[in-house]
Amino acid sequence: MTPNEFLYAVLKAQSLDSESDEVKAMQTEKDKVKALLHECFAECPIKIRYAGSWAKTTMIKESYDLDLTCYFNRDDDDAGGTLEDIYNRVREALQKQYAVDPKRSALRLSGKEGKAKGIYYHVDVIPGRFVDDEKDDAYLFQAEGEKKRLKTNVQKHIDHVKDSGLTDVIRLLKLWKHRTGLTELKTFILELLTIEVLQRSDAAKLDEALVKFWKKMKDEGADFVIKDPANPEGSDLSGIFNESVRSMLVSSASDALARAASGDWEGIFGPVSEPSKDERVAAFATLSSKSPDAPKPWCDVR
Amino acid sequence: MRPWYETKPRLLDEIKAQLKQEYPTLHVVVEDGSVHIRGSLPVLDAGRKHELDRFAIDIGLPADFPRTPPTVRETGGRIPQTADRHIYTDGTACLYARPEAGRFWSPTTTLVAFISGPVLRFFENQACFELTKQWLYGERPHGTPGILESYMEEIGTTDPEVVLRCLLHLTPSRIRGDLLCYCGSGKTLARCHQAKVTRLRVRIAPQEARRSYYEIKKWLDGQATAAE
Repeated sequence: MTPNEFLYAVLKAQSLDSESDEVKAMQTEKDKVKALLHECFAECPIKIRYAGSWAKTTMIKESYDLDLTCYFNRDDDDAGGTLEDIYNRVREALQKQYAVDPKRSALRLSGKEGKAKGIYYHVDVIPGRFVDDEKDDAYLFQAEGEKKRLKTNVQKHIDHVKDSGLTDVIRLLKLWKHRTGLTELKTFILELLTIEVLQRSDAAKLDEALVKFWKKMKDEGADFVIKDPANPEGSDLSGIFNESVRSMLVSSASDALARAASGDWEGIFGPVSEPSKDERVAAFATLSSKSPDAPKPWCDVR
Repeated sequence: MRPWYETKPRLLDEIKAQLKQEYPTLHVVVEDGSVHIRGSLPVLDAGRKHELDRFAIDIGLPADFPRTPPTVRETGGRIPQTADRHIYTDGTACLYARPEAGRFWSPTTTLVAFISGPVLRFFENQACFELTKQWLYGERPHGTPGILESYMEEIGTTDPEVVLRCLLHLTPSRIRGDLLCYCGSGKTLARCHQAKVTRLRVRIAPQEARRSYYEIKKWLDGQATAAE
């Protein structure tokens, strides 16, 4: 198998089609979330749209979620006067049925009671307010960082990624990011970097494109400049793409390059064919016999 | 107070170097005055050749690190945050029963040893549970029964009264060999199990022994009352 064939096999293994159990479960939850939000904000004409990897067709099985934007009209104050009010009102609405973990701009949903308690539903809601009546640009509240407001345009982001012709490379790099533990590197930044590096590239094969990306990041990642296509002059990305994140990216790109040079693509992306359940059970049994003094988990609840 | 990574920069450098060598997919992040180790932790087979699973984790190093052990969280949203999966509602993993902390962490324990030990065992346990609904290394009952069980295993007894008597040897700061041994042999501790108590003392501080003693005593009394 050539590196290119291997990478296509990885992509196939990471596909989530609309009939998969994961997607069906996510869609079911999405419908419930939409119904809940429309019920809670019956007086406000909210607009709920897909965003993120589902809309961009860059979802991967190893780490996925469904992003839903929930935007209010520019002049609608029923949900709150400020972006923070909107963020909190949407959070309170979702808390009626979910445990809500607030992120920088998104609200992450998991089960609240019964069997599903604590189970992540792979659905995130991003509250915001349209900038004008065109209903394209929107302002989001930012719970972390110095700037409390971020101007964005979901459709521009989706088009930027989908029209780049690089969705396969982006999916592979997302998998690499996940496996390399680059949790601090936002997927949005990775997408922008990938497109900036490769959009005019002559790399015809996936392995060539990846090597080109990693080489660029190794050599120039420390000060590589990217702009938000939705707000090229306004969005300051230095907060989320800071020195610490850049340093991790440079280091991880160097490691990936070294592995790719020695042909260890499986070391970067993992094996294409996963061990069977029986093989894994047997492997765990062997592990157990090697660690007789392993600690047993506990919980301090009474 | 200056954070530990400023007063002990070499310790932070050592952690970074060790992680790069042993766990290159875990990264040091300094954020809002505290240090986190974030990334993905592979669960490998016994030969360390094949990956069985992988978890996104966050290890928080407390302000008084390395005195207090790190906290561990699963950040991929895979493990439900419930006591039955040994995760508190704030996302913190409970790797072992509280009195066992001294077995797995001391200020001289390296972070890599901690990850390769209790952290990895915890995630091996979780991966196996997801696959088979069986805990690979077992689990402790919640609350005081789990604490009692951990002492029973450590002391090598099934009698809760023996555990209580043993804890009484551990509550003072100095072990007294002239007292009767906890095992019930009728000999003094010095002529019986003093070596064992001395070993336990290294891992269990007087304060923890006192706390455990009163928790177990209260629980046993409650059980006895309920039985009546």
